[in-house]
Amino acid sequence: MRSEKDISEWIEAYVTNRLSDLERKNFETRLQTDPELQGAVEREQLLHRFLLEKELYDIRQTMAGEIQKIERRATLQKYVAIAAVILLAAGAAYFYVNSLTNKSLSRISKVQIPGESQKNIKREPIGEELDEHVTDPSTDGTVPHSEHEKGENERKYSPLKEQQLLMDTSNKNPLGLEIGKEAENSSKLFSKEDSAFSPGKDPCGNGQLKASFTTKASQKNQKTGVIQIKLYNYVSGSVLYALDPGGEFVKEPYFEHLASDKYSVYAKEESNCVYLLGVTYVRETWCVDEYPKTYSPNYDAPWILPIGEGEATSVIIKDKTGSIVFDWAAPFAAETTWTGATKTGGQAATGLYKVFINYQNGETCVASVTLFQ
Amino acid sequence: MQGQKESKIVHELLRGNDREVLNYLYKSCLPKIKSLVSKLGGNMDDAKDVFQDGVVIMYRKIKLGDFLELENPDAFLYTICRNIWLNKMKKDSKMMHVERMPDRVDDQADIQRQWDMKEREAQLMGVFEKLGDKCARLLRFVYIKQLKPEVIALELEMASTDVVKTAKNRCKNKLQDLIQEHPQLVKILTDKT
Repeated sequence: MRSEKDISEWIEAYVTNRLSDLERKNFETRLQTDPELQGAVEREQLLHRFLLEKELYDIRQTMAGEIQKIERRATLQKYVAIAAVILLAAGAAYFYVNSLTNKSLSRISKVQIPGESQKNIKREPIGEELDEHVTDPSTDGTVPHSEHEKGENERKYSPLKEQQLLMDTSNKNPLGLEIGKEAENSSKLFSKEDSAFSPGKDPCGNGQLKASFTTKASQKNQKTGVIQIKLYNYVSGSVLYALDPGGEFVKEPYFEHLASDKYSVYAKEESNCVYLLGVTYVRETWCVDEYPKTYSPNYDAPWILPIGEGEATSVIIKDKTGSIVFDWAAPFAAETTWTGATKTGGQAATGLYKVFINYQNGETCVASVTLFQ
Repeated sequence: MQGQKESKIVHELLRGNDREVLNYLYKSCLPKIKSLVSKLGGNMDDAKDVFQDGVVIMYRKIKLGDFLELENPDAFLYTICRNIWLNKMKKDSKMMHVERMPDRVDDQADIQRQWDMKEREAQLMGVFEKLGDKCARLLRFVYIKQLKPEVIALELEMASTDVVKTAKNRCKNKLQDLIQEHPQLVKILTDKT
């Protein structure tokens, strides 16, 4: 037991349950025989209970508010958790789609030359500025060679212009959006015909080049067509090009003296992987020149319009007022005929007519013909 | 509080960490009490009222030293809340059958109880106001939060622990005198609730 000086502390410790079992036992023994101590303890207990009641009163008064605070925190935490899950899911989905797209946009195929090691290829997002010019295929300008002689090791390529044919074998941009149906159709056509370089394969496993082609039509029965290739991935090291994977690869992304035909364009990088860049068409000049210039159903056989094998989706002929006199839709046919009749079966009037041939890639070739009845 | 053992609840309450304990009990017990009250015909607001009453009863019992150790405070609180709700249902059921007869003993007792509670609160607050804010804080630190004199000196910006002891004795005497001036309050405090 402590000294008499500390008796108030003993009482306080007893009332607030801070004594050990032994101390409590000793204190209670003395308490039974000490009326003065009993009175002091009772007063202390009253005081303690008063303070406790006041504390409980305060707790009761504030508990509803505290519970509201807890609930608000819990609700906020729930929303934060939901938001975090959504963000994570969106992020995961983005990276998943991105990785899939990168794979599918990566090289279509590869021919690995034995003994040669692969090198890393750096790529840059689509949309970088390009110094080169793109020749409009609808004009008769030729593609200047000098435009393609720059930047042998690292080049930057520009986005496509409208006239260019997009020969993306995946049909997806890096965000997974469709680029164009024409490219999809081209891929399908190609994959049926050339399984060795079928789209979707990525034997090199290091990405896929994307390319666009600008073609200039060839003159009728002459080899005057041109294909210009434009890569719009960023690559390090030089890329060689060929129209035959087994043939000679050249440095210039440019081919000329081509007859009207369908062409597969291949690229070979320093790693010696050979990729199919895509498929493009060199058409005959009649599409953009006015061929044939005259047509008389009275004396001639029905006019056969060569529209390119597997390319055209529709042919429309309009008179000089813009009214449609002929409307034909048969995708992938090689040709169609016009007898000089209108859509209602009557004879079309003598005069100038415009022929619109719509192709899978979105191009429309326009020819003019003068009809003599 | 979360993550600590349930047995620490008593300790935390005795140290005056009421808010932390409430937070813990809210998460661990309130869902069960909501479920119980819901099954027994109550709604969410009823469950919260029952929970609050139960927590206060539990606090009082622990702080008065009725439970120096409580193995399962969750189950203890759940039992208290269950009893509170069953008593309330029983009382409501009787009131529905009798259609609120004003001379009913139960009603009179209930009215008396409510009056007592109001009276108790009024007496408490009256005494507390007379005690003064500084003494109230000091005695709360000593008896409820059970802080050491050194800590109290810092909290109340007192020069030393001796000043704390002197002030404490002065405040205790003042409060004891005030309580003795209110015999009804003495009676209320002496009753085991």
